[in-house]
Amino acid sequence: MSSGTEQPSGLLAEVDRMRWAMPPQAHDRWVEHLYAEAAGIAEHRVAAAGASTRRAWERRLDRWLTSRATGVPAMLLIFAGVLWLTIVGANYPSSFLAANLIDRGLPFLKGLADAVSLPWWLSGVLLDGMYLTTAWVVSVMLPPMAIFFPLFTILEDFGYLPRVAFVLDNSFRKVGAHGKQALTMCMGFGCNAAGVIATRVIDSPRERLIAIITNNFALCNGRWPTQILIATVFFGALMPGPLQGLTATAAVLTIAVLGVALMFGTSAFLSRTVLKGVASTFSLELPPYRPPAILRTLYTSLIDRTVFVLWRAVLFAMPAGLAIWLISNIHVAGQSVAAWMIAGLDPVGLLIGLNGVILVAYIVAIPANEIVIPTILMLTVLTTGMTEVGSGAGVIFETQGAPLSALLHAGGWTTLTAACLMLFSLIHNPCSTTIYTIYKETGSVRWTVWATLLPIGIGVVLCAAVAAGWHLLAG
Amino acid sequence: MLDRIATEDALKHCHECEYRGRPATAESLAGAMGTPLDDASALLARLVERSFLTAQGQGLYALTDEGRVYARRVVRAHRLYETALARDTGFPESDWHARAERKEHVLTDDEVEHLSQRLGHPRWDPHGDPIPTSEGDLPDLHGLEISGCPEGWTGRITHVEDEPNAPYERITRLGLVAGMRVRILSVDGGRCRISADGRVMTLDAAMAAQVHVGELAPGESIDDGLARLSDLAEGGSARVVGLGPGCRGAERNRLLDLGVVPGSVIEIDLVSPSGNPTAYRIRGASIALRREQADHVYVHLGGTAP
Repeated sequence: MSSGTEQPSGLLAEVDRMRWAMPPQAHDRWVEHLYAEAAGIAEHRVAAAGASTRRAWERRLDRWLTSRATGVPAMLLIFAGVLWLTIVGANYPSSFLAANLIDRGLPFLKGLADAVSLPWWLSGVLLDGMYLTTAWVVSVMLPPMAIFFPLFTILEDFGYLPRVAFVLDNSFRKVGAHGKQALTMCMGFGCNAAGVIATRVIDSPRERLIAIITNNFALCNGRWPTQILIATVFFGALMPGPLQGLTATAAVLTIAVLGVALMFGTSAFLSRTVLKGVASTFSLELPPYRPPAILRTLYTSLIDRTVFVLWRAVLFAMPAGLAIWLISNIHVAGQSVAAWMIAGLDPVGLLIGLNGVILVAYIVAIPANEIVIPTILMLTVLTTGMTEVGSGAGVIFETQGAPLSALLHAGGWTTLTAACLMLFSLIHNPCSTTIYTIYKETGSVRWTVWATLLPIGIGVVLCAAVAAGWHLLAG
Repeated sequence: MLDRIATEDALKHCHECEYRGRPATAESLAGAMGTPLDDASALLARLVERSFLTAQGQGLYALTDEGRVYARRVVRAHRLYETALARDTGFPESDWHARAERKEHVLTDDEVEHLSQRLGHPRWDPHGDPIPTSEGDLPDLHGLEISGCPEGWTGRITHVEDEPNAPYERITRLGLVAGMRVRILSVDGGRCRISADGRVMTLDAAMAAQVHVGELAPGESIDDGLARLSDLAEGGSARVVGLGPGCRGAERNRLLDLGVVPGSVIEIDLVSPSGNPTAYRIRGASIALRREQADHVYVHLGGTAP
């Protein structure tokens, strides 16, 4: 800024004085009139082809999807339908994959290893460790993902997600959050790291931080299989045949809705304490419905999401398999390292309704949620000594009298363990990728730590409360 | 740093007194800063020593030229920062002052210049206070207290004082901001009932004391048919007149981008389960707005499609 002394000072000083005489909102009003002028020109000079009014069925559908009476039930029903299709549909391909990859593949590979006389430890590391974990990840995760992602993408393409944001916005406003958090939450149902990146659509920094920190409460695809598997084995099995799918769906939906409730709760907590403020501007376009391009949807959701996420899971599964094999086979003072860890963590685990195996699995599985269940299975196999599961048991999703159910019951699991595992799987620290993404997006160690410790703190407290309540009622 | 904050706060106080034609004394400073009288006197003595102030006798103090330049630099930082908060952030209006109060002591001259440039060198802050130019230029004080105006008087809100905070918070909750056109409906002691851009509201005495008004520009009048988009009922239509002065920065641009411009005709498309937000049909698109935003859109109800 230069001072006016060296310039044609009379004129500039006059301009400066005149600026004070202008009404304070003059600039805003000019801009407003420029826009109005542009709109006027467009109206007169641009001919619109076809009617701009919406078709009757779109209006009727919109009323069903957003009205006071039917908006929220319709939303729950749609998501329940997607889950049910995923749970029921994933059974068959899962059994098929497990039968081939584990039942046939593992003995075949072991045969090969014997034929070339690999040393026992090398075949152990490669086959019992890395191959078996990877095979489990693929057979447990691939089918649900291959069904869930395309269904979700179809809803997205159809234009339903903005309607979800529209229906939920009032709740977000009340907790001091941005309405677009509904969109990043939906994205988080796919992947939390993607959801955290998606918060860039929120322009107010405070509300963006809230969306980032609470995104983890949206159940991500890495955890859906855990939820679906445990719900099927433990809660579905409580019911007779035809009701099993529905019961499992209801259990998973309960957890997902609880996650949404927790997201609202923590958002409210944050916007009243460390991130004080009021909800700011919100505008959301409700686009017209578009018929989803089914083939392109299948292609993009299979390639972009399913294969990408699966590849990441496999990348993390292999080293984790190695770690699991090592801690199970390296013996210290007459016991394997895994057994020591499990025994050490068992009291803590039982206190919060879980057990040592699950806690060790969560420690090994910090890199990725996807491998929690495979890790739990591996560790349970190794600690119960039911090694024949690796070769004899294929049907992971079968419920009644299935080896998986038998295996977990042999590992000391009860319905409480299952309930607490489902809770803990929803409410614990984000996976390492998400934590890293949060750090990159916020550029702040403080908020990264918040986002990491807040959910695990809530999770431990909640699981402990459920366990205490259970024991009180049961005994 | 503590010394710098005290110095700058004291200079700001003396500047405010000078600007409003009130005497600056140790008592007034102690009152404004919430410090014991002895501390205030000692602080003023130090500022005289550093030749920012001169003692005028009878306990009165006046700014020197040097002191005035310094004080206006701080005021400039404060008001620019408030303007930035108003445009770019979601902090509640009642928090702006406290935040700017901290920030004004930390911003360097370069940062303040940069801020001013980014905001397009604004002359007025969101409360209607003038922002001193980089040369330290300020216009003379104008505006009268709203409670001093007679019934039926019409004018424009020129300034909403943000201190003390409690009445200011009540004012912001009513949605009253500088720039709105008002008609005085009734004055009863300090209380007054006013109509501001299509909304009728009542200010208690404490609130009214913080609201200042000025004459309308020549040729300007009060638009009695003005309503807000949030008043629109399902089935009706509204023609946009403009956006209210409380709608700022990114929010304002976004609404304009979406086609909420003077002349647009708007109808209700969908109402969400709780009634807020509402989806409006604007230039062929369906746009969901929260009630707070629809409040900022000034309309004439019952306009028909072009």
